[in-house]
Amino acid sequence: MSSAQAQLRQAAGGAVRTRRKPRRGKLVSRTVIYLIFLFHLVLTGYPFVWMVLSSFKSNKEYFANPWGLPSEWNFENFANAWNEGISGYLFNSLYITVFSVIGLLIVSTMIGFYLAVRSFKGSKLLLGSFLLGMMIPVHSTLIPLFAIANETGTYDTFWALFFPYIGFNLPIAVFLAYGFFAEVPKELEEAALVDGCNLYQSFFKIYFPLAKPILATVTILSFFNIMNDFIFPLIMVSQDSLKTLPLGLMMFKGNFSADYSLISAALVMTTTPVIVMYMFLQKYVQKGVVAGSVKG
Amino acid sequence: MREKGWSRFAGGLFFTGPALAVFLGIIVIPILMSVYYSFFHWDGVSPMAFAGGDNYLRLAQDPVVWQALKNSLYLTLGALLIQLPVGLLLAVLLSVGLKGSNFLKTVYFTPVMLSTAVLGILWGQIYDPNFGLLNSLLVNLGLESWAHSWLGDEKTALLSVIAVVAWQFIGFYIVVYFAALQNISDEVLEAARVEGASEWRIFFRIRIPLIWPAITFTVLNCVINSLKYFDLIYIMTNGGPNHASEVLASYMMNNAFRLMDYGYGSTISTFLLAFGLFLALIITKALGKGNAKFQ
Repeated sequence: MSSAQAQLRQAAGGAVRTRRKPRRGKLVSRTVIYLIFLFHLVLTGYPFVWMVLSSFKSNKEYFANPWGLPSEWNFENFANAWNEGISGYLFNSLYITVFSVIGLLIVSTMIGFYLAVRSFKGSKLLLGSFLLGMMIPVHSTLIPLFAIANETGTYDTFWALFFPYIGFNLPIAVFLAYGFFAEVPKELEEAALVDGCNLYQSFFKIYFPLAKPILATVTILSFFNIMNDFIFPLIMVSQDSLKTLPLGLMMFKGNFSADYSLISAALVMTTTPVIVMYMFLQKYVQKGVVAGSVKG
Repeated sequence: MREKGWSRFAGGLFFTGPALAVFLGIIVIPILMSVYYSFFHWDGVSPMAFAGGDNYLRLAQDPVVWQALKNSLYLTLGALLIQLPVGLLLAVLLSVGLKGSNFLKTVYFTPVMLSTAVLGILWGQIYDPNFGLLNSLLVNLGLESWAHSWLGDEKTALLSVIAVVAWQFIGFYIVVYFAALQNISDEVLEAARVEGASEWRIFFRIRIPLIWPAITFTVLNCVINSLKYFDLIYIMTNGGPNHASEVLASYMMNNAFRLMDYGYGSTISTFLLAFGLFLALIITKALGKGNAKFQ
């Protein structure tokens, strides 16, 4: 820091000190700020607290005593919801999500890498059209995708979810991968060439492993996107053994529409893994979501 | 040596091929097909019959389409006027450096990470006219006359959905704005304070201009997403009662997959797409810098 800046900083500190408001005013404004946050905290958090409390009540108590603690904490709702289908839906969600994310990571980094190290006629246009892809509402493609799935016999199979999940997460993934690889100094690839790596080797041995941070971001973003998706299972899948959690929950709610506490237990069980995962990864999740969306 | 001729072509195909194939097959071709279908009468069973502009004429005269557009406009305005300002306000307050601000951010962001299906069901329970938390709260506060069927009443259905959307996404904007505000260097702010600028002036003259790219992004994001709202509406109201909460996406889904009118459904989805792109274009032009990220 230059001495001028240091002086400025000192002056600033001094100025702030002399201009500081009386202590009481500061205390009051702090309190008001905390009250605002407390209010928002209750507003955001209480629905979840209520959901958890409800899941331990009997259905009768759910209606009679919506606000209080359960008179006795029973775990039957969880066991019942788990056995009535939630376990299967959870497994389906994990299965389709993991495979789609892996597929997405591979194809998006491959094209991102190629566009970054070998520009060709139309490569900018290609990148631009991927970006435009982010603006496309899923709904504009559903009828044709449904028709294609029927024609090709992929309706109600794993593939009817796998390809759309890759397709709709591609734009952001390609954009992030391209952005990352474009920043890698060109000399790296030239050095690899000199050392006898061909294009394929330099991707798989050098660039792909190098891309860990961006792979993590893409994984987090697309994992939550796919895990939470509702619309593709709704249109592309009818057999129970492929229904994912969001759609499965809707079916579950339809089947047990009068059993509110059972539904609450199902909600708690679906939410808990996501929240736990989010708590552990929250720093990366927030960063990833912000990077993904701000840059996109 | 860099690859040439055939090997260059093969390399290009190997690296770009898979992504291109999926992109074409899942997004580009379906969009073209959707536009094509929109010129046909088609119920999915009998052969497609060319309809010319019939479907578009029907679209222009369909009162539900106009209702859906109006509802999307309300959703957008609700998002722009509630989520962005509240998100910005809370982000500024958080950036003052409160104790526990990380904890607060984490909690506020939680609903963003959850499936809309979960939130739709949860809020359906909260709005439930007989056993719901909201009516019970109103009764306890002595406001019994306010209690009613929130999602079943034409007057409140859309508002109730807008409230849930705001509840879910304010945390997202807090985090986005907070990140943007963190990037402003302290020296700029200190210099302004030395000059005797009030906190208000600093907010409007320094902070806002410096986070303008983030604001542009959030406005665009808000508008585009408002057009795409579907899950929550499908789960909570299915567009009802009497189309009071209908949006283009839900109307398209009902026409195509419930009434089996794929031709008209495609017309609505084509319109939705065109309208969305048109809005995105206008906003990026109007807000300037926003389009920088597309280059």
